[in-house]
Amino acid sequence: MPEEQRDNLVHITIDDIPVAVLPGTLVWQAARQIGIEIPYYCYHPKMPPLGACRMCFVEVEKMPKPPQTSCTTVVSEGMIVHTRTERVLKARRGVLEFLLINHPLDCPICDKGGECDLQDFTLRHGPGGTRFDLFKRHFPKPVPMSNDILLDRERCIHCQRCTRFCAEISMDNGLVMINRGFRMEVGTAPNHVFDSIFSGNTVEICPVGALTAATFRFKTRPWELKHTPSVCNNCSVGCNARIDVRVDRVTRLMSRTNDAIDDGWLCNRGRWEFGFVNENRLRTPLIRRNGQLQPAGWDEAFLFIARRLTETLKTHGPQAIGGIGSTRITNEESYLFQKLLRDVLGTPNIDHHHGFFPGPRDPLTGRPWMMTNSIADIEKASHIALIAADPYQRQPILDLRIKKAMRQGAHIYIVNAHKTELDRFAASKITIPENGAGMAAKLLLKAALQNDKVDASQYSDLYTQLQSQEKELKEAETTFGLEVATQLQFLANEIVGAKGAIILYDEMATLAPGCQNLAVDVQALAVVTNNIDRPGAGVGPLFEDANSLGARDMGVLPDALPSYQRVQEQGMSYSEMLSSSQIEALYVVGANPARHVEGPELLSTLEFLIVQDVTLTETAQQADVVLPAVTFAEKEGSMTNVDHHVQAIRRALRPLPGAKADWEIFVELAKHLGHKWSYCGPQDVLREIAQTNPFYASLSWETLGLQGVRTEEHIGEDAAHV
Amino acid sequence: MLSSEHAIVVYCKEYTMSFDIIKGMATTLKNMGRKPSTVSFPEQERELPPRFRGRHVLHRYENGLERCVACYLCAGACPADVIYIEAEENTAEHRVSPGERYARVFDMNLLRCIFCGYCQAACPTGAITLEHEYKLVAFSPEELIYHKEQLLEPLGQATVGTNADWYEPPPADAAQPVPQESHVFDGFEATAASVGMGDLPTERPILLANEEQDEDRRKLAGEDDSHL
Repeated sequence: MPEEQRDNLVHITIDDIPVAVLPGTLVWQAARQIGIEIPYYCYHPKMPPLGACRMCFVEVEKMPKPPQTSCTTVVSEGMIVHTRTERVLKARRGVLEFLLINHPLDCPICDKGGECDLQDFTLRHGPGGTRFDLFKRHFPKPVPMSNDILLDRERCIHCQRCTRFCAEISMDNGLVMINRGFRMEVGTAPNHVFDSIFSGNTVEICPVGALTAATFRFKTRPWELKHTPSVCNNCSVGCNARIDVRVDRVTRLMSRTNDAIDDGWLCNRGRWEFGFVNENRLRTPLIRRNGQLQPAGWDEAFLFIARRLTETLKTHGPQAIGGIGSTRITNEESYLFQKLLRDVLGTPNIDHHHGFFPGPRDPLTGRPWMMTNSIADIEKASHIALIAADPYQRQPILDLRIKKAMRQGAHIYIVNAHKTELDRFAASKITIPENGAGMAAKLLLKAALQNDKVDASQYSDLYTQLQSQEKELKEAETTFGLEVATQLQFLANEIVGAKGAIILYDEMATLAPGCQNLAVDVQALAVVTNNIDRPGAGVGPLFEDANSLGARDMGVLPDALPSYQRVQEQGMSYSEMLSSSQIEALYVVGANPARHVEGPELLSTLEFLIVQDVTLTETAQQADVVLPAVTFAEKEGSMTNVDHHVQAIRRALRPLPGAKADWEIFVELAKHLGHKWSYCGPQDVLREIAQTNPFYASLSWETLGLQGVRTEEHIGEDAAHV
Repeated sequence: MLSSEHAIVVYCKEYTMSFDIIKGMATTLKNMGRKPSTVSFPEQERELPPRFRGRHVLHRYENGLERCVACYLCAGACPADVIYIEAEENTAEHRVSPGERYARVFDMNLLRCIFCGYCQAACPTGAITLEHEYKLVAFSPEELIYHKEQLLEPLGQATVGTNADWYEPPPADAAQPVPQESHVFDGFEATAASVGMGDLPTERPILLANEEQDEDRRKLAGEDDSHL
């Protein structure tokens, strides 16, 4: 009845069950919503429908007689769908029979056995036996597609999921379909290797064992694995992953869909680079005796550290102690680390390795340094400018999101001294000289302020500042050359008039000589062109590591307390602690500063070095005490990704015997130093953080759930919660 | 005095006996003359029925290759979590089994094993069977975790084991399939599953009607010299 259907949903009937779905939904998706399984091979929810495999047949009344493929049929009002009629069941059996004709009898030796769509659908929908008594066709196998992927041509059922992923989603050096008809095969372009960083996704979406991962080859069977939902720890995007563990080793990570962050994909780094969990782990604390690091017990180590630190406090005072935090430990652990250093030891010297940001907050907007837009917002942008950023190398899944935006019409502008993977998609690639990003940002800002549409009178301070640097700017223009200068001008004008411009720069680019003001200038550029706080617009740094932003939020900074409040006493920064002779004792957690000092060794004036890490790094080799910590797969906690999604990591493995979680070590150490903290676990610490930090207000372990929560700063009681 | 059908009263000096007691004593007397079924182990050993389920053995083919392809089906079927397998790739230099993979590690915790035979039933190549060895002793639990070397039949021996007793023998005119060492898996070569228990016919006429479809097989077998 017309008056009942005032909502904008489409009402259809599947197998006599009524269901209401959004317009534009496919019949297959509607059936899945009510729990009806329709077997399918070529369809994938994140890719446009194809209809090649002919597996997802359903009968639709009042449509042409043969069954329709439900993955290409869009729902329409009043549609009546049958998924279990005689004709549909016969069609499914027939399709499976055809697929099994040439499919090799490889189940016992195929890696996919146990999680194979062909096995599962044949069992549930297939013919009981075969009528084929001829010889199956054979190809030499396996064929390496790259160092990581092996192709088995006999098993391939030509669903084209892999080739469509490479063509439509990842758009780089991928797999293609070669030939037609019965000669069709999956392959790469001649003399090309499938060396995309997203190649692991094709292994995951292949419904049979045609594409298999070389790192996972023959390791285990799916039924022996234990699955734990967690988050990847290898870059700041924080893609949701599922850690698969056999007995006590991590065998692989699979993707777990989070539409707000990773869109269902995972890059190869996340999928296969977890060697640090399984190998080369520290198993006992080490104490340096007679110049050699020797195994010791935990109590011994704690007493030793407590004694030495108390001595240093007495003789040199708290200023002589410094702490270097980690960008890869959880929020709770970073919070306890700074609490240990500030409250227990009384030192203000705490920092971690990060890009150059003047002050904890941006002087122009008063916000802390982070992306103002969400990752999902990238899809809504009309212009995406990457300044000294190469997401393909550093934050790969963002590269996929940018390509998705591009497919919806966004223009990409790249300002970089080197080649990047997105160059060939860029509307304009502006090649600046090495370390020229700082000057390029200033030139962009100047051009933007000079644009007619921008009201420069509002930003007179900025303008005067730029005027005072007129000489340097002119020099830069000459060094860059006329062409580059014009391109920068053009880009600035584009950003001004853009429907929504997202400007991203790499955090570490601010450390290059001459780029100290990169962050300030890019942020100012976004502000003057009104590209903040609008859908599809934003600006921000692309952080380096899994919890870089969390470390900043938790106050592992010399000039900021947790939630970016002003410190009472400014502490020494990362590079200062490594070069000042004032520091007598240094506590390094999950970091490797030995890579960032000039010589091979840390300061000789350093008397006491504590290193807490999972493996014996270069810094740990010089330490006086080494404490073994556990990896992200062995503990629980929360981590904050680049657009401020706070996500829960969960324990997939039992903690390595002999190693402890970082938060446990901090609590023990505080106890030995006279402060008894009463935390039972990371959940308790999170509760305390939620009470004191506006960015984490109202968060608890339960609310983090499986998809995390994106939070913004709560200003006052009634600020809106995102 | 009344007497029922069951109770025949026997007058005796001390007590009365019912028929059931007499039946029991008759059984005892009957068996007194018989030979006992006790087997005085270890001097004598009981003769075992052919399908007796004792300790497992991993079998080989006649050309020395191991049958086990580390498919994990026995480990998956086992109700007691007895078997631990790690698979490894066969290379041209080091070929252990026909096909792509072999079992580098094959550990069985015989303390957990209930000798049900599910692993033998699950194995697609007839690699693992339960044979007649039952004298399993050790001084420590670690010794009863049998590794592959202890389970594998020695080089030179290639038997089918008790699979011959559990399953139909192959037809008389079928040759024992000899696995080839190529990478090609064909109907009459020892693929993981097509070998089965040795009961598939190995010679089959080629029924192809379409020459073009047979192109790959001809090329690989070297019969097709159209490129010359």
